[in-house]
Amino acid sequence: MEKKKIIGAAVIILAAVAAVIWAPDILPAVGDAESPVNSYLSTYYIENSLEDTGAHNMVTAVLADYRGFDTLFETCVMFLAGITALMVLSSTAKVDKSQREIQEPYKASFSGTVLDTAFRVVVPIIVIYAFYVFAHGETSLGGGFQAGALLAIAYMIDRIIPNFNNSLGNMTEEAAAMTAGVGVFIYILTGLLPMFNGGNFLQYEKLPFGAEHAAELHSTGIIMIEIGVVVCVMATIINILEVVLERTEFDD
Amino acid sequence: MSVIILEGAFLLLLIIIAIVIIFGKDLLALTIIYCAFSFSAMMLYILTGAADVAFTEAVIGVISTVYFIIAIKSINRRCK
Repeated sequence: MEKKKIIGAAVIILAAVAAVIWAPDILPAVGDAESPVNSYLSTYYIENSLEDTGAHNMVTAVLADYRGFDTLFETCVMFLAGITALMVLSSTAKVDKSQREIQEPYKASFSGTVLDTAFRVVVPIIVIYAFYVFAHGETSLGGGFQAGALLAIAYMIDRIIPNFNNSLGNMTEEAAAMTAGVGVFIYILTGLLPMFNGGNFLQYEKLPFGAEHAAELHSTGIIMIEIGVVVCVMATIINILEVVLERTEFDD
Repeated sequence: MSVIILEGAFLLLLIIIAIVIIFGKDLLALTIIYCAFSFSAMMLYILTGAADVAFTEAVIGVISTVYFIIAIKSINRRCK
């Protein structure tokens, strides 16, 4: 039985490798200017993205505006990952989470003067940088996902170094999962608002705010969905962190 | 030309790191090496011109390393 499984897996892997080796003949070469991807869709984005969306960063224009649905379901996948981690990893034993502050330092915590001092300097910079990345996502690198992850890193440092005494607050994993849901809700609400104004789902130029140019409404819409993405990503990472931390406490 | 050599070096590094991670015994050391995997992937993204993806990779590399280290603190560091 075991041998059959190994042979089956080997056949599948060899087939996949053969497919990868054979495929480049029918796929267009990387950077081929004549390929369908490069010949009209990219050209359209490059020529019209600033005019259409008002976003200087073309990546943000594509992710948040042209492909808003794609990003919406990516955010949903993040949320789903957090929920799944919560279901699989969290213990069924009743733990009084309000007593958490006065517990002994966790087994999974890291202490020491150097760590404490170093991260005391680093944390405020990370938080400010996260807001910068979020606000400048339209014009430079970055955007909602990176900003949310940076905020989560700040929380993470605060959580695993006990001398900070959880000064950024203490989220339970359930609260983090709910916050992630709020992030997805903000995103979907931004998509629904144009529908009250006679537009389609995520059609930013129909957002019910007064503006002179459609590009301004596009910028507003992009900022609104980025807020949703920031909240969802941050809360999901915190959620998984809390679940893993609780698991390490639970095991001893 | 030099960019292609650099890309080749980082791709080779990715393969070497993957093989080392499969056969290594010390989980904490392997986690740090995995961080280097993330770094080479990030450098590859930068060389390809995808700075946004490189930024995400850098941030996610930090987060996954912290997850792994927290998990390793609660189990035996060396595997058989």
